[in-house]
Amino acid sequence: MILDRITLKDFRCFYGEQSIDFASDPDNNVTLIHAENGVGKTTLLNALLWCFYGITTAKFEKKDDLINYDALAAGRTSAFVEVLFLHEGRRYRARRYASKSESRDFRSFSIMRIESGHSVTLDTPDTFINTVIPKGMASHFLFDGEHAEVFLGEDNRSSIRHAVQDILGCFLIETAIKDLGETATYYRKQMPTSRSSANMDDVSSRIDALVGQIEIANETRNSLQGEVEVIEQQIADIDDKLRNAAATKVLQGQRDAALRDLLKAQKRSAEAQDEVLRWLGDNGRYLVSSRITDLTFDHLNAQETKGRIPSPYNEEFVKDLLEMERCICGAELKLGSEGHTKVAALLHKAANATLRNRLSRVRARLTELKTGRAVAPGKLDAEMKRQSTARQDISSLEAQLAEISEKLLGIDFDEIAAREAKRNSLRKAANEKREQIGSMSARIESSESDKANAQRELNRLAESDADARIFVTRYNLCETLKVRLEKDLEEEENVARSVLRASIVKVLDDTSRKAFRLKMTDDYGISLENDAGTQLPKSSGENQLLGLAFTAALVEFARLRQNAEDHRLLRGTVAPLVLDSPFGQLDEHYRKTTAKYVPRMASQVVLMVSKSQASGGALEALQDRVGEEFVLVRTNKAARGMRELEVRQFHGKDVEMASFDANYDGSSIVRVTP
Amino acid sequence: MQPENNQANETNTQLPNDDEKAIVRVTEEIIALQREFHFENKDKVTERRRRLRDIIDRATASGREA
Repeated sequence: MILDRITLKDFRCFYGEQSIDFASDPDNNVTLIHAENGVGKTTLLNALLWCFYGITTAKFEKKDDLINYDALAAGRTSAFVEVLFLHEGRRYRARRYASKSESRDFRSFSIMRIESGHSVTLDTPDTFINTVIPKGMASHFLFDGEHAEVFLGEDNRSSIRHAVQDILGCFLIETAIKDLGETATYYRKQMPTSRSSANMDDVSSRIDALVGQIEIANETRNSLQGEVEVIEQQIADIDDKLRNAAATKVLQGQRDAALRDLLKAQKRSAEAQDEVLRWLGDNGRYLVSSRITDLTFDHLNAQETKGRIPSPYNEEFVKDLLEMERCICGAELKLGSEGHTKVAALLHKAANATLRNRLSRVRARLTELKTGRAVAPGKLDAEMKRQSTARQDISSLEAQLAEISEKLLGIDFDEIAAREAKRNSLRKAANEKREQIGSMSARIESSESDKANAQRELNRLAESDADARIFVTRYNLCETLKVRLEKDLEEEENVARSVLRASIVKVLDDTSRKAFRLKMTDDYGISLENDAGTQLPKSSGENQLLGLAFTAALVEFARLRQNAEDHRLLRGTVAPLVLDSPFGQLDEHYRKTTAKYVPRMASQVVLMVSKSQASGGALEALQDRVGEEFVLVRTNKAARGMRELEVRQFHGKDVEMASFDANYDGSSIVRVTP
Repeated sequence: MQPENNQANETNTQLPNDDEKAIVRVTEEIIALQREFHFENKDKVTERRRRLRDIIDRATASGREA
């Protein structure tokens, strides 16, 4: 989709009919809108969302009050937002009305395809707009003002996950999973009414209780993980302050180094532990087989010496004698005679090819065990030694960290001791919460196991109850489909996470002046770490860039998925990106690099900036890519009185930022494109 | 549209879980149902779930597998 023009008619603070033509030239793809607080920035952003989907964001207050008050006072009873756009080479006009007196057959939303000389009204405008930009994805393009806040917010995990799921278009799978869960429960609850036994009812209730327990434990675990993240962030902030204070710079530097070494030692210890376990799995048989190998070898050798293994008689030879009915000594071996019976009995002990092969394999296996046993303890010893060294390093580093902390606690000025005490109490709280997370995980695992057992029991009971069997069949099918879809969703998310991770890293590489690592856990915990493995404080410029990098990565991911064929997922899209104050509190350097990057984020970018946002070289860096430029001006019915005149200059054109003695209270759009 | 089928005494028509084709077919039907309701902007959960039960009923009904 490429936006062409938006027209607002008596919509909120925009009195009368006012328009913005968007820049759509690929080389000048930025539409710059200068707007201070309270002049209708949020209204403008919401107008796009509302026009297409009839929705507004949480920040949009009094969402049912859409018609301009002065327009109402003048007797007008409706407002509309109209958006002209291009999609796949065709022009469309979307229009949504808000009416004071909506009649039953009033059609509030329509889309027309504009063809040469005439236009065609689409029958299903909702369906169409959802194929152009699926509703779930829209908020990430058309109203981006909150992404940075999401990242800097205290619990970003679920917001990030939802954003990824929205862009991945997994709404259909998610709803299907939810519906299948509900439907499975529906079928299970049908069972007791169809048979006499109360057992199934009991099992069914037990499953219900377990499902509830698992849900609560999962929620608690997620919440605890969020709390740990918040605590870690608070610790990172304290570390940052200590790192930058003259009195503690050295000590904090030592702590950073010790923490980095501690992480490495813990990693080494864990690896050695894994190696020991893996070694035992692979080689344990060498140790336990030592005695039995020796005994078997001795036995085989002794029997071989005595000529018992393999047997001195070959099966083929004995059979030949019996067939010829004559012994090697010349005696006759008539069938049924005593001699024939005795020779035939030799077949029980006679060696054949199979037996000889088997014996040969046994010897080869025993030799392998014996050789393996000879080298095995050496390898195990090496891993045990590695683990022991790592553990000693951990103890030494922990002691070193405790000593550093003691010293910091002793610095009784500039709030240093208080900060360190706070840090220690935060660390303790985080560890306690981690223990609780472990306990929750164990509880979930145990409840899952109990649930699986209960489901098996239910199946068993249903086997003997013909009336209930069909419901169990349906219940099982729902559960099977649900599990499959959950697995599919997880796999899709894994792919999405890798793509997004790579995109974010690339954006940060292009815009940041420091080297740091992006940490993105499987449950969407996102943070930035420096080389020493220390988390960067959220207030850092790098973390502010992270919000923008994430938005850019989402846009790129949606573009990559625009022709995706998977029927379970909604296709991606190419959509205009609307950014509200993307420069946040960035310093001058970051403003410039970010401003240079913004036009590359999407095929069309609409950028809203305040006066303070526009400073620091950002606009100069952006200027070459700006195709259209507007100013939102505050309009007042009141007289100016003693109020100061505020005039800003745009490309040599003076614009009064607030006008007085006007016909209405609200905002007006002024084009300042040079 | 198939009527809802809750008759408990019908003959057992176990859909084998290892029947990959049947599972794939039912999954496709369910996703198509979700797609229909999503795009038509129908916020009718009860109706959607009733249609889902129809799909499951058909998939587990003897001789009437979807």
